[in-house]
Amino acid sequence: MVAGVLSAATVASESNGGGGGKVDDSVAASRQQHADSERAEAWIPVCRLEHIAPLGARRVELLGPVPIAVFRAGGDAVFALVDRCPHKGGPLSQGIVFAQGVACPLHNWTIGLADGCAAAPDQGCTPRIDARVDDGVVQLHRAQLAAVQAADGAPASPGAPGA
Amino acid sequence: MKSRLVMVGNGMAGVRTLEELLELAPDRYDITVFGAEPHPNYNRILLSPVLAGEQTVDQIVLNPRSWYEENHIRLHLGSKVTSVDRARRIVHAADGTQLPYDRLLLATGSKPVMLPVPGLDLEGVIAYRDIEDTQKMIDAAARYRDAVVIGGGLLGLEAANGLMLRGMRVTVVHLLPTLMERQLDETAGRMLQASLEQRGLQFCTGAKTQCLVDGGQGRVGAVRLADGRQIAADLVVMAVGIRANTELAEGMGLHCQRGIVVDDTMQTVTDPRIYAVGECASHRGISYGLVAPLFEQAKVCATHLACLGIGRYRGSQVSTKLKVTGIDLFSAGDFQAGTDAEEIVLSDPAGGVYKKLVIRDDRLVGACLYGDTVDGAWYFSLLREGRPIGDIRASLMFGQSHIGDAGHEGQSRAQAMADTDEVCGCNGVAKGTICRAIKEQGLFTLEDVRRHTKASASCGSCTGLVEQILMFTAGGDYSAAPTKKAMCGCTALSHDEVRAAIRTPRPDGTRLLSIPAVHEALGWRSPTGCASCRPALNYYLISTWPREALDDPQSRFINERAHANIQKDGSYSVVPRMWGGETSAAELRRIADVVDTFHIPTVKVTGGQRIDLLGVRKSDLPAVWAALDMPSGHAYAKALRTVKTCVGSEWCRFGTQDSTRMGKELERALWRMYAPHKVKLAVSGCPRNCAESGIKDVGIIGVDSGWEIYIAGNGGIKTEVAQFLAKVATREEVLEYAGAFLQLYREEGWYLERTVHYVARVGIERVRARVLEDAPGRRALWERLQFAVDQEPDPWKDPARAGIDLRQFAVLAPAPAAAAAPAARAAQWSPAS
Repeated sequence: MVAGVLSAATVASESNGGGGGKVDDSVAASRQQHADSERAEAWIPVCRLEHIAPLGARRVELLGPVPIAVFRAGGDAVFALVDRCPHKGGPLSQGIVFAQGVACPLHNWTIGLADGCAAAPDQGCTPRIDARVDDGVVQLHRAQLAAVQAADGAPASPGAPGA
Repeated sequence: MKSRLVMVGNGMAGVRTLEELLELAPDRYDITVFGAEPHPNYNRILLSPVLAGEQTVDQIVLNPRSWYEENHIRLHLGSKVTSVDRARRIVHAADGTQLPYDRLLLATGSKPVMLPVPGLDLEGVIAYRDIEDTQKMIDAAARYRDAVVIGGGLLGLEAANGLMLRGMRVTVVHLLPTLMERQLDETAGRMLQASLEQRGLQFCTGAKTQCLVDGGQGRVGAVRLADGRQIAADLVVMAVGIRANTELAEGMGLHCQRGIVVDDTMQTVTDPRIYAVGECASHRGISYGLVAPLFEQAKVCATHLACLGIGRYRGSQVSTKLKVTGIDLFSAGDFQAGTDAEEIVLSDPAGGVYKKLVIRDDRLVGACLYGDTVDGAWYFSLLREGRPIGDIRASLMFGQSHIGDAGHEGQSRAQAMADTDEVCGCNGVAKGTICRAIKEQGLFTLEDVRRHTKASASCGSCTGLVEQILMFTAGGDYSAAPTKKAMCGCTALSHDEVRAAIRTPRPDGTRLLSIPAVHEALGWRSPTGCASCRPALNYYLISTWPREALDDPQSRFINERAHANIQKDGSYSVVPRMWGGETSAAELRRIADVVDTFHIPTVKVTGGQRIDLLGVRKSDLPAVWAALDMPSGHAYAKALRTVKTCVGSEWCRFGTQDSTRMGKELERALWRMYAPHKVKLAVSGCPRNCAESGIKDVGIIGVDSGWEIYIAGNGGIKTEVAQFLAKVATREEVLEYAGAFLQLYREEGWYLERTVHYVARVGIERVRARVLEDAPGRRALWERLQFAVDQEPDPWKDPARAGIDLRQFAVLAPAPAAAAAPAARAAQWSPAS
């Protein structure tokens, strides 16, 4: 049944040559099956868990302009934060991921994966979104994601990773 | 039933002992404290700032009454103990209280010495010892004009300064010719006097007090000196010294000799049930009056009261700082050079700086600093460690930042301190402890740090330093200098210890070849490490076991994971390799086409003689690499960056050697070489040195008869001129010597340690021994380096073999409305996935 939640999902592929493009066929394969299920409305599938490296992250653009970082932390727990460090807007998806946090690639602030907040003595938080793994598929909480997109209409930083 | 512990005296040393005891054995004793003053324990050292109006009495209370209540300590304030019956073990107080004890702790402190001169009993003549004295001085300053302080020592000068700040006209009468003669030599004493005179204090030095003159109505009116001079005084403060308060102890029949005599456990030598700490105790003939030794005594005493039977107090080295705002003065150890000692002196009276270092048997034994005390803590640590200083003697006087491994001159001094360096001399708190507390406990105010670490909570003279540490720890230093002892908070092991563990096969013959294996074998505290230790471990693994250890891209900084440099807006920069800084029309055309095709906003010529393409979108990186069709410049990596060259003998009319060819050969031999930090080379074809070889990790200079090799230069935050290593005749030798040095650095350098800091740490002698004097060893080093880089792929040309996770270059953009994604576009997952 859980494959059904993928109804709304597809992994867009980008390829400017050089080996960039990638797609998850298994995800695409079963989409549309349960498009109207309640859970599909509550949770948006993003990718399969194995499409994020262990202790890694992916950048997601979904439901709006605000980029989201989806993390695969220790023990395969998944977390999602707005992909902007509260310090200088660095893309957290590019940082080093460890048990509870991610180190921002720009100035090495440590941001908690669960709460999006900078580790003291740094201060500041980035919005978080509930994330979960269901039958191997990483999903984001639709309403929270929509709220984040609505609250922050600012476009992603100009040279942001990916297109 | 609990044992009964009675403490006589409610001062800093005694209460600190109780605090330590409560940590060790909270339920062992019923504790009762008798204090003669009506106040709970306060910070006596801060009476000077209270007098100066910088702090209030409430602010200097260390343990409020509630602390005693919370710890179930019965507190008798304003209650003086008059006698102790040792046979029946009963304490008698003046108010009639009688209390039996099992253990007795004497912490009766000291009493001020009052000069036995006529007029001592006049009103307005006081000592400077407690809150009551301080209050009298504050009151007098509000009503009277002239004050005389007798005694030009530490306490007297602080009192004089405080009274002056409260508006009084103050004269200091001092028996000896120079001030603070127990801490300062003559020169520094005179400089101090001059600077205090400038602030408005007056001095009568070499002056003996004859008597105190009644000004009428029983209040003092003047001080008369032995030479007949008379100085007006509505207030006279005696600050000529202190004496251990042994009245009670002597009445009890305890052995006293300028203090209650105790052994190394702080137990009185007379009665094993009785201990003494603080200024009242005499340990190995010394009564300490500074807070740091007293707290050391407290720590030891507490372990014995807790019946743990550990710890010995062996005496203390003491250092002194004057708590007069705006005057920098530091003194430690034996600053009067005897006949067997040598002095190094820097004296600039006009500039207000004077420093004297005293050396005996190749060790620093004393330091006296005036005007510039920045290196006081460093000298004090050299002094206490007793480390031979022969190797750093030439630059000793110029401080730690001149030794080379101290990091960034011109930045805050706190940053230059090693983690083991002491910040707070009073409470023995090292920088590392403060940093850890700041990080782990999320401290961000000075008050927090004081509460959690006690740093800066006693005399407060390290407050500025603690604030600096707070500042830069809060800033999150991306390229933190690896001078700390433990690698990071995840382990107690040092970089060297971790490397040794990785290098040494385990008893069962297996080796540590992955980060999880290291974590498990060495008992890492956090299961997945942190952003500091993971990149370090990854480097140590792949540099120790090339081709065998598992390279983990997720444990590399983003630049090494994406093989490009992240920029502040999240875009990347791309720097293709140009061998020896040479390029061609074809390469330049390709670069121009790439710039157009990918709309790259900025093209910049770098200092390393190549071209930087800035503002590349991450998703374009693989395509940009393919279109450039040039090798990776590794401008993003802790690895060989560039080999800068001049045009050399091929074109230059002055050139003596073909530096460009030499540079290209070096670059082709060394590229793909990962290292603890970035590595930059340069080759100049003649001593004019147009390639700037003097500030490179390895700099080569061609001379008529061959090549000179320089190492460990640095053009970064702190410019360091490279040191001469060797002169060789052939290009092959240049490769072998330079390669051997770099391999040595790869094997011994700590992660994020540049060659300059590595060489400063191990000493150039060691490098010479390994690279110059040991020919087979040199060749072995060079071979190991060649083996390591030999099969390293070019990540831009062969991303799969380089283990690049190509998924990172695509943004996940699942369309909510189910736009079909082409199912079978080349899915190139890296092997690591």
